[in-house]
Amino acid sequence: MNRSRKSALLLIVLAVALPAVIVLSIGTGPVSISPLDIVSIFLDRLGITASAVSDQTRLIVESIRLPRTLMGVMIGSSLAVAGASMQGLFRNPLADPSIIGVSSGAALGAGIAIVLGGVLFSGVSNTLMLDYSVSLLAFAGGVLTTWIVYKMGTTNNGTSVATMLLAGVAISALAGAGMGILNYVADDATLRNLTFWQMGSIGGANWNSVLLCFTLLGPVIFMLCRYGQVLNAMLLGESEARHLGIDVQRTKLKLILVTAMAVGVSVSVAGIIGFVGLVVPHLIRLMVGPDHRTLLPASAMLGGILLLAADMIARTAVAPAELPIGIVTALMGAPFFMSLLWQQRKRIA
Amino acid sequence: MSSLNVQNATVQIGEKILLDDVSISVAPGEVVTVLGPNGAGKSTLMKVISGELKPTSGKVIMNNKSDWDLQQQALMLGVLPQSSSLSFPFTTEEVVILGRIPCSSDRTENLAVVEAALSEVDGLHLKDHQYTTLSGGERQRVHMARVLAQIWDEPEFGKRYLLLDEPTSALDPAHQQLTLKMARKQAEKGVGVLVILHDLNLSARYSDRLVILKEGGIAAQGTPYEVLTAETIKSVFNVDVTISEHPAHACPLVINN
Repeated sequence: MNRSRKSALLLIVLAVALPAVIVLSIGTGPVSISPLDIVSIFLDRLGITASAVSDQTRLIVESIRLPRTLMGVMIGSSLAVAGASMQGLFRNPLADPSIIGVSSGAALGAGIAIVLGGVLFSGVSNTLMLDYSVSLLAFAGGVLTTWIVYKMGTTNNGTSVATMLLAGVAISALAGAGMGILNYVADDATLRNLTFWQMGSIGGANWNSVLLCFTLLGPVIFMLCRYGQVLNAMLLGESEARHLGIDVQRTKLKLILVTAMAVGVSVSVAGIIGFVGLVVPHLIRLMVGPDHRTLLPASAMLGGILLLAADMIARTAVAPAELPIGIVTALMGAPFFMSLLWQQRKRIA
Repeated sequence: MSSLNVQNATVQIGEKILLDDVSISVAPGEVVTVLGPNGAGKSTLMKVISGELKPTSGKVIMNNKSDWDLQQQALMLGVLPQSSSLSFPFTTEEVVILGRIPCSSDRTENLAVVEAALSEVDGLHLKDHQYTTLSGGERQRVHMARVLAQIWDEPEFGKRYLLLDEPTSALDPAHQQLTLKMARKQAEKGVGVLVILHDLNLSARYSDRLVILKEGGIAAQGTPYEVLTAETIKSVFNVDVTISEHPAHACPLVINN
């Protein structure tokens, strides 16, 4: 089977699997809910009465599981599609928001907003507006770090893995110090918030955060998915892309802003969830090759699927307690990253 | 009249003058070769023509216009760089079809152009190979095919030009000949070809005109017979040569003493 057939097939399979995993995720937890009941609740909302469902089940689905699942899908999608775009932009398959320091930078921005928010946005009382302001600062932190890493790591011959990773280490250390200061000055309640959020979790999902994700991440995912052909050209090199008629400077600026938006908003609502942006595009490339026209939409869908899977593990592995999802993705992703480094060690040296 | 014109281009970066008041022109249908020692400004000249580098003074006029839209320019001007940094596992076919990005043709037509372009560079057998497993010379030919695919059809708004920066550097002798024959064939189809070479005899055999750069300026330009003289080569390249007549072709033959 040639690659274009495989790509079409993969996109269809993912498009079928994503809703299935969403239903599975809504059904999984301390109270398990059958897919039939979940579908009934949805249909009921649309005005079609199917089988009767207890009010308790309805409440669990509508105010806990559904927002959590929807937020998980949006965050998984954005992280994966942002990872795929960054790898294209950096012309380097090892770029990932958490590895090159973008997540840390965004986290510092969000941390500043969380701890000092009371002072910075004292006039704002609406909680949704406060959530947006946290996202805004996370976005600013993300833009700044992406730009720094890009400037430091990229030459005309692509990015040097070593420089890129070292820049990531340096930025993460700096952002870590900043977070340390914030931890130090935070009061007890804020500190608990901060600590839990830093480990990464989508347990705090509510309809406010879902709204935030859909209004900010939805357009970002959609936009990035349209950059397929442009990113393909960018893989050839910046001057080659220019010779193919692409306005490279503008494209770079847009990509940096949009990927930072994806990472910044994800970090602001769910903390640092690492390695999704690395693992997902790699899996897709293994299946259908590096063509971004397939890679981007397929990563978006698989990212959502994998994050929900990780969240189901986080919810059930140590039930009734819950693992932060960032720990689950790191446990799965870090060994994967090490194996990639192992394969590439000759090229890095 | 359509042509590719560089007018009094000077490039100065800091104190260093990389290109010093250079004027050259390439007409559709001719092959012009740029020669010169390392650091003479050949690649800088290419970058100025492709629009990658803005000259400090002077300008580049292609088909009577200097401010083409990037996409229109891409349909008229194909650029083959010295080397490429592509490190993702595309197949050869996928790399060559990237050349069709500025074109508005459909996929069936693009695939046909890719096949035709690959056979021009003797690369059809590489079509389904993974690019990252190819040798340096094979990669160079694949990129050549990509650039050919890019300017395959003549757009209605202007003549086409091909810039080749050392297209033979990684090639064996047979493929060096093949590549330059291909450049001639493009010229016969009405493409203006500007090529950077280091091999004096290859340039003598396949070019209509030669331009020799030295320290950023033009040291000589004209037909191979006019330019390839023992004095010029001695003064530019600092090598002693004897110029003879090629026994099989109507061109000078440069023999190292």
